[in-house]
Amino acid sequence: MSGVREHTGSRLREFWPPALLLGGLVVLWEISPSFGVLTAIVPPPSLVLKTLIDKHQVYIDNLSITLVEIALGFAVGFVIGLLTGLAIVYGRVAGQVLQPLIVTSQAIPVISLAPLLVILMGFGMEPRIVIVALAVFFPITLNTVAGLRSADQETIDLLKSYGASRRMIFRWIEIPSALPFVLAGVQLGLTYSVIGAVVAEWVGSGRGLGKLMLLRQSSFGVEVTYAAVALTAVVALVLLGGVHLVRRRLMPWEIAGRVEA
Amino acid sequence: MTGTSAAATRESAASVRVEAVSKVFPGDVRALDDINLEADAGQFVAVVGPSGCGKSTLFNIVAGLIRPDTGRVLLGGRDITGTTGHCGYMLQRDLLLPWRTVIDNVVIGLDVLGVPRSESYARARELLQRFGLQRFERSYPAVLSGGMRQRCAVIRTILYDAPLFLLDEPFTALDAQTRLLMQEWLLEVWSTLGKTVFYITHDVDEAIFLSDRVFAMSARPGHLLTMVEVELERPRSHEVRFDPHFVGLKAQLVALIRGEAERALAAELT
Amino acid sequence: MTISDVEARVQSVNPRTEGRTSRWASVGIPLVIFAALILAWEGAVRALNIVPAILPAPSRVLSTLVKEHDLLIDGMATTLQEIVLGFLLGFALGIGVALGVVFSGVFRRTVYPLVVISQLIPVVALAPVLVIILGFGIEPKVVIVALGVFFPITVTAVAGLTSADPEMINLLRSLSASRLQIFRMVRGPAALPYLMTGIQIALTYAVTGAVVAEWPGAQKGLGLLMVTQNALSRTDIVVAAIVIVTCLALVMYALPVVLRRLVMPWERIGRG
Repeated sequence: MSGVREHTGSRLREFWPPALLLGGLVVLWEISPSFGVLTAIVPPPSLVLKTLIDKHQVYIDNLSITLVEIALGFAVGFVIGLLTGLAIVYGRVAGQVLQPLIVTSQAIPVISLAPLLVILMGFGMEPRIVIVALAVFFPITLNTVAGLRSADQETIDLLKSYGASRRMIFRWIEIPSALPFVLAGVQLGLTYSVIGAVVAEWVGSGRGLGKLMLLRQSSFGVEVTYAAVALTAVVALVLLGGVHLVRRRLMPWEIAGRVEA
Repeated sequence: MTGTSAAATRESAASVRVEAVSKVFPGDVRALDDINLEADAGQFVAVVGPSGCGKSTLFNIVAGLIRPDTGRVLLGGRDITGTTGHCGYMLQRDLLLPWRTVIDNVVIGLDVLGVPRSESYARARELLQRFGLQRFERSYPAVLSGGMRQRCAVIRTILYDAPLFLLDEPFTALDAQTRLLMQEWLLEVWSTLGKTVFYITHDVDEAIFLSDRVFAMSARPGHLLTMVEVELERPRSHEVRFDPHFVGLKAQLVALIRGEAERALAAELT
Repeated sequence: MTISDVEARVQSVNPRTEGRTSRWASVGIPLVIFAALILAWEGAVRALNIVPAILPAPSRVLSTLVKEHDLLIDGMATTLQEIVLGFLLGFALGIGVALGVVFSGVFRRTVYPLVVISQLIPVVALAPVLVIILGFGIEPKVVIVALGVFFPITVTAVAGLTSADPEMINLLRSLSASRLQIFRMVRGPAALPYLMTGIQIALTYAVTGAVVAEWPGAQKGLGLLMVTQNALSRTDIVVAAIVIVTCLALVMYALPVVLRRLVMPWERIGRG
């Protein structure tokens, strides 16, 4: 029990130094106009916050478009990636054919396909969803494969010696072994999907957070770009924080190990 | 005596015969060459040999995980070659699943057999209590010490309650003191269970101390060098190591295995 | 959290192939499939009479690559410049921060946590802001590339520099080796495999980073070509630019593999 308390104590002690540093940097940014930094180029945080509040409806509208792209693209990429990973590990032919193909094609910078997809699929959400799905697909597939293969062979043999079925081995050993890998893939995939959605909005027309960032010359001030970038960062942080919480729920044994260690 | 109630539920001990077993792996790696072993029902039998003598291959053949090229394995006179589910199986690594609590780990063999949790938990609690692990029933293995983890592995093996126990260097990873204690503890547990045990080790001292019969194997391709009967009274305590019979057997086996190891080393150097 | 993020990338870069697929299969199968895809693409464009403005056939892209080579090489030179400068800047910064983290406790407790957290933010999305601050030249792109390169280098260098076996270090100490000697003989070489992985991740990122950072506004570059030619309905040039970017990415992906063999000859022996 004392181990747990000590743990939170040390976490608090770890928290303060970087928090103070960050706070200092924000204060410096806020008072930067008094050093001659132009607010038309670097608006202070208070100004960015003000536009977020004043024009919140605009931000909410664009944010929700980007979120829908991320959600749909991620869902598609995740499901296809998971199935492909399973096929590579358990399908004899699929493993032989798909694995080298995917290992090779992951080197292709998929996000740079966005301009072509916009031409092919028009200016709607579709090309952006495809880009997000493609970006998510690779880390999910590769981590699913690595995770399923990380299952300990001796432990599998132990269960086999007990007469366990293929299904038992899958459920009791392979799935839990793959879990940390798949979650790491999800983390990576989410980061890619935020980037993919925003960046795909930069090419082609339409709306969304990425598009909002490029609105600097219109009736909005330059702070709209900063606000949209900040919102993007918040989206990424919230999504990754969510994965962190899910991870703790799905893998309670990890925390148990850490507290005592 | 509490353990016997758990032990008597499935199958009692049975004799084991390994008959003329040979195994060659792809790439012409000759692992085993015409191995014959025999253990009477309820006997503790050890197999010693230098590393790389195919002990573990033999073990996997008896467990039914690998099919031998020739020969067969008989359990109580029944041919079980290439079939699983007859052995409790324990290795140097405890093989506890990190995502299962202690109690869920020890009942995993019963889960495979489809025993309802209410029943398997009751049996597990009895053994956890007996082996001083009841406080950790709901803990994850990550919080246990090496000795505790290995005791969990023993409980898992006992709970599966097969007629034959296969133990492959289960205590090698432990420190010397803990290891001696675990050996005595194992004998104590075994005496209440009345199971046939195959114990694989490279430690001659350990083999003699634990067993009724010791088989010595050569370096690869593994074949049988000799078999000795250990005529020491049970229950044994650590003082038995100073018994002239013990010392004589040890001298004989060490000389044999040492010769084998030298031969293998010489082969490596040329 | 973020270390595991990098580990995840490490896995994506070096997936375990487990010897199930032979060397021939790992090169041959993708080649055959890519060739088939390109043939199918050519066939489909011809059979369905698709206008080049929508989707040019591979043969058309090839002839564009030849005909428009001035334009394309000009764009490639700019993008490559962004990649190289950004990489060097990010690499130097990453090594500097890593040394700070390993050798200074204060630095490790204040700066490093911020560095780690900052990486949860998608760096590329900062491009529009950097364009406002630094203009339409290559500077904002170099910064974007450097920011993305910086992190994997830092994390892998920190992990590598702290990976040396403490008993090995004690052994050298007992032989009264100096700190510099210990660094040169043990810590440095132990860090190399980690750093190589970091370089591989960083280079793969650098290509995408440079191209994408040109989209919100640039004067030259392959990324800019994609956007402007898109508006002019010169889809063939867009696809040609994508082909060049892909080739650049493949080179950047292969470079660390070659480098690894040169810098760490002992690894090859271990594997063979």
